[in-house]
This record gives sequence, C-alpha cells and structure tokens, in this order.
Amino acid sequence: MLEANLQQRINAQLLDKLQLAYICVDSSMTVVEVSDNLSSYGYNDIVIGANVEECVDFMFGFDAQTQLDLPMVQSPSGITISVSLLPSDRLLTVLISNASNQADQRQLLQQKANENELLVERQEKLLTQLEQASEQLESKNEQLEEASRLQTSFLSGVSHEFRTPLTSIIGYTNLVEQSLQCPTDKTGSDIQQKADHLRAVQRSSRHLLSLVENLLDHGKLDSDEIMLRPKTTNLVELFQDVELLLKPLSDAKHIELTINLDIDDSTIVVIDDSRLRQCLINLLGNAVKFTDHGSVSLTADLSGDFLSIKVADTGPGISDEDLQKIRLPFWQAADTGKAGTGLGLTITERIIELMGGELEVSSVLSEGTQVSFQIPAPMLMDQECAKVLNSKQSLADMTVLLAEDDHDIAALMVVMMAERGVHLTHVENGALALEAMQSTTFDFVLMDIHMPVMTGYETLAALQQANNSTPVVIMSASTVEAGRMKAESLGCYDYLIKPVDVDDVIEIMNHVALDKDADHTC
Amino acid sequence: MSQADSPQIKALKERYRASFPEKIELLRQQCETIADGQICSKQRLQVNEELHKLAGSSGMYGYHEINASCREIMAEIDVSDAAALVPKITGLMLLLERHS
Repeated sequence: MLEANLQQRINAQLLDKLQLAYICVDSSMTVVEVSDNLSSYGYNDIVIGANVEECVDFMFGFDAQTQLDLPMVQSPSGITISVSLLPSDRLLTVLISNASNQADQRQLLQQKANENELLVERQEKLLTQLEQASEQLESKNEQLEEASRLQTSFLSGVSHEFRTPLTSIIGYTNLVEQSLQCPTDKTGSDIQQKADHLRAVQRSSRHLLSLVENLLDHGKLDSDEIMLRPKTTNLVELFQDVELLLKPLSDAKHIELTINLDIDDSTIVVIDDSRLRQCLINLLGNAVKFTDHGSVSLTADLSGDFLSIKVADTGPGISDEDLQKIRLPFWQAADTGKAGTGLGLTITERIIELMGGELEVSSVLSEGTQVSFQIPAPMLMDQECAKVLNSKQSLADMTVLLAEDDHDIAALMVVMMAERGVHLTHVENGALALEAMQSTTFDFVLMDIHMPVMTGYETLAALQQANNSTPVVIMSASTVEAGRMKAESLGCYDYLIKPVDVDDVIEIMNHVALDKDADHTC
Repeated sequence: MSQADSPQIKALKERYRASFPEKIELLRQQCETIADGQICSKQRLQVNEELHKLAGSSGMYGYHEINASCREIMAEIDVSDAAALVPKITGLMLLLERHS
C-alpha cells in the first residue's frame, strides 16, 4: 500500500515535471481515470464516471478506437496543449501535454516565415526595379552608342565631303603657283590653262560653300532651330518661280521639265513659301541632275487645305537596297559621278516633316523615281483672297522708304519696284531714314544694315525706343544668323538676304497691307 | 524674272557692269595694303566692307559667281592671313575682269 502510494507520488511528480496530464476512458467514453494535475489545464469538472464528450470539448464525436494527434488545442485555462488519443484493448488514453513552447515557437516561426515572405517580396520588387534600371541603362547605353556612331559617321562624312574639293583646290592652286614661278611662260595657252585651273578652284569653293550652307541647315534642323515662317502665298506664282529657276538646268541637259498644276491661279494659301521653294528646288534639282534622258515632271494639287506634290523623273532609278539609305545624311549613290553634298534629301525630308508631311520615295530601276509628299496648306477664304488681291492693287498707294547706302542697289530697287507699281523714297543712311520718318508717315521701310552715319541696327533701336511701329524689312548681305536674330530682337518685320528678290518684297508688302486692313476691320 | 529686262533695268545693269574696272582697282588697292604679309584688324574690316558691298550689289545684279566668291572670302577673312587672302581676292578680281 505504502509502495503503491509512493509509486503514485513518483508518477505524479514525473507527470508534473513533464507537464503531462491524462484522462482514461472506457469503450463507452466514460472517464475511468484522470491524472491529478489535470486541473492545471483548467479541466476541473472531470470526474470518474462522467462522459468525456460532455466535459471535454475536443473529444466530441470521437470513439474509443480513435488514434489521433491534435497538435494545438486551447485548454480552458488558456494554455496551448497538445493532445494525443492513444487507444488500447479496452481503454482510450487522452494524453495532454503543455504545447505553449511549441505554440510560441510556431508563432515565432510563422513570424519569421512572414518576415521572410516580406523580405522575398521586397527582394523581388528590388530585383524588378534593378531589372528596369538595367534595361533603362542598356537603352541609354544603346542611344549613346548610336549617337556616338552617328557622330563618327557624321564627322567621317563631313571630312570626306570637305577633303575632295579641298584636295582639288590645293592641287590647282599649286599648279597656278608653279606657273607663276615661271614668268617667261606667258603664252595664250598657259593663260587659258591658269584660267581653267582657277575655274576649277571656284567650282570646288562653291561646292564647299554649298556644303557649309547645307550643314548649317542640317545642324539647325537637328537642334530644332529652324522655325517655319508661314505667310500668304500664291502657289501658282511659287511653282512658276521654281520652274524658271530649274528650266536652264533641264534645257542644258535636253530634258523636258513640266509643271502640272491643278490649282487655281488666284488661290492663296498660308505656307512657308521659302522652305517649300527650298524643298521643290532640292527635289527637282535632284531629278534633273540624275536624269540624262527623258523628262522630269512636277504635279501638284490642292484639296481640302492639303497640298499634294509629286516629282517624277525618267532617270536610272534607285535600287531597293539604296532606297533604304537615300535619306541618310551624306549618303550618295556610288558610281553616279554626280556632285553633291548628300544632305539635300535629308534636309528636304526634315523640312517636310516640320511642315507636317511625310516624304515618300518609290523607284524602279531603269524606269525612274517618284517622290511625293502632302502638307497642310490652309487656303484663304474668297473674301480673304480678295483682300490679298486688293492689297496688291493698293500697293501703289503705300508710301515706302528705302534706306540703302549702295547707289547701285538703291537705283535697281527703285526701278524694279516702280515697275511693280510701288514708289520708293530713297535715303542713304539710318539717320536720314529717321529724319524722313519724322516728317512723313511711311507704310513700309526697306533698310540695309551696314550703312554709314547710322546703321540699320541703330535705326531699328531708335524706332523701337520711339515706339514707332512702322514695319521695317531688313535687307542684308550677311548670312550670319546672329544678324537676323539681332534685327528681330530690335523689332524688324522681316529679314531678307541680298540678293533680294523684289517679288519677295512685294509679297511682304501684301502681308503688311493685309495686316493693316485687318487692324482697320477690327 | 520671267520678263525681259526693261530699258531702264538694262541701262542700270550696263552702268553696273561698267563700274567693274573701278571695283577691280579698289580690290587691287586692298591687296596692295595687305600684300606685305601683315594684316591688321582695321585692314580686315576695310576689306570686309568692300566685299560686303560687292556681295550685296553683285547678287542684286545677277552676278551670282561674284556674289558667291565675295561670301567665300568674307567667311574666312577673320581667320586667314594675307598670304591666303590675296590669291582669293585676286581670283575675285579675275572674275570681275571676265565680266567687265
């Protein structure tokens, strides 16, 4: 008995130490034995003979043969317990152990798992960002490589273009220099030879000049410095001008040049006529240059405020491979033997893009090439056209002052403008122009820049200071862009480069007259 | 452009062409002043003035070669030495001579 009690105490101590408790039930789920420490888990009401399903929640629905582990169960005292159902022949032992530590560890593990998941998520995000940054970097790198490649190609193209005429210039000037060192040789043929050499030098120099001008245009287009200056333009007159300019070239090559217009003579549109003219001259010039037999034609029509232009030639045509390259700067077809800068088409395409159009080129070898584009060209309404036409008639009524120190130019301007019904009052410098403007109201002033006593810039500044808004059009022999910008900052109405086309002056006067009419209408 | 020149324009053009020997002489004097190899900024300015005038008027009267030649020289007048400028101006004089 004593031994049995001792054994019972030892068992109880062992159970306490292991934090184990138990319930034994028989096959009818009646409690037959419980450990003393069962109350430490909050099971206070379990007595021998009670039905275990009624006093222990987690036992509901089980029978005495069930073998099961319930790892995390909340006991009535709030302790997390682990339960094992251990069936034997006649009894089912419900073994309860303290699982607080496992629960804490599990919670900790869950927390760590969550934290890990968060870290993984963050890592994934960072990896995505890294990939994006890497892609951007790669793209930037590609852009830089492309820019570097283009720059190298540009420099190589420019160097090549400059080298040919420069080599020619150096060669021919050397020949002339050598012949000058032999003063005894003054035969007629020697003089003729020197003249030929000098003409070759001139040709090369002109080619260089044209290259520089094209490069300047190309550079301006690249840096978006070229601005369109749309103005009222009679399209038919513009096309006639271009035809007259190109006719001598086509005649010299015995090529038929035809301009087919489906445009009314009196149609006035708003467009940058100067840039359009440049494009047409480039395209027609190219067509004439590369066509040795047959014809070159330009077809134009105006429909719904859009101007469509097609230039077709019967030249040698362009291969499919070359068609891919013709728009590249400095590209020139091999073995054509035709001089050029290789920039004309690039510049033309960019200007057409600037005007809102797209240049299309199609070609068939041995048959010819077609270049076409369509650009917006808003037509003036009949009433506005009438105003433009009326303004032409009213030019004779305009008072126009010409400030020009060069007598040859002044005389020519006076006569040419008179032939167009415009009377000019001529003065020789800016100071005299200001004096004349104080005594007479002029509708329009044409002014040179480089004049003695008072320059065109000084005169513009004086007019600006005096709030005199008379439209002043500058005529200068200087092509330096800074000159134009300076004049524009001083309020000039327009800037023309000598040689000035008097028809351009008339066009600007029409514009001034139109503006004046509009002001009066307002 | 499309019409033939009027008698007045023809007369002006003739007068202008007749002034070429005078212009050649002016250019020759400019060449003489810089031919010793030294060219100061004042001389460059004077030469530029003459070329500027000639560029403007020759272009207006339809002498585009002369106009282009003037522009070529003007473009490099600030950076060229006398040895480089004189042959170019002489070339321009030859052009004027050819048209006079």
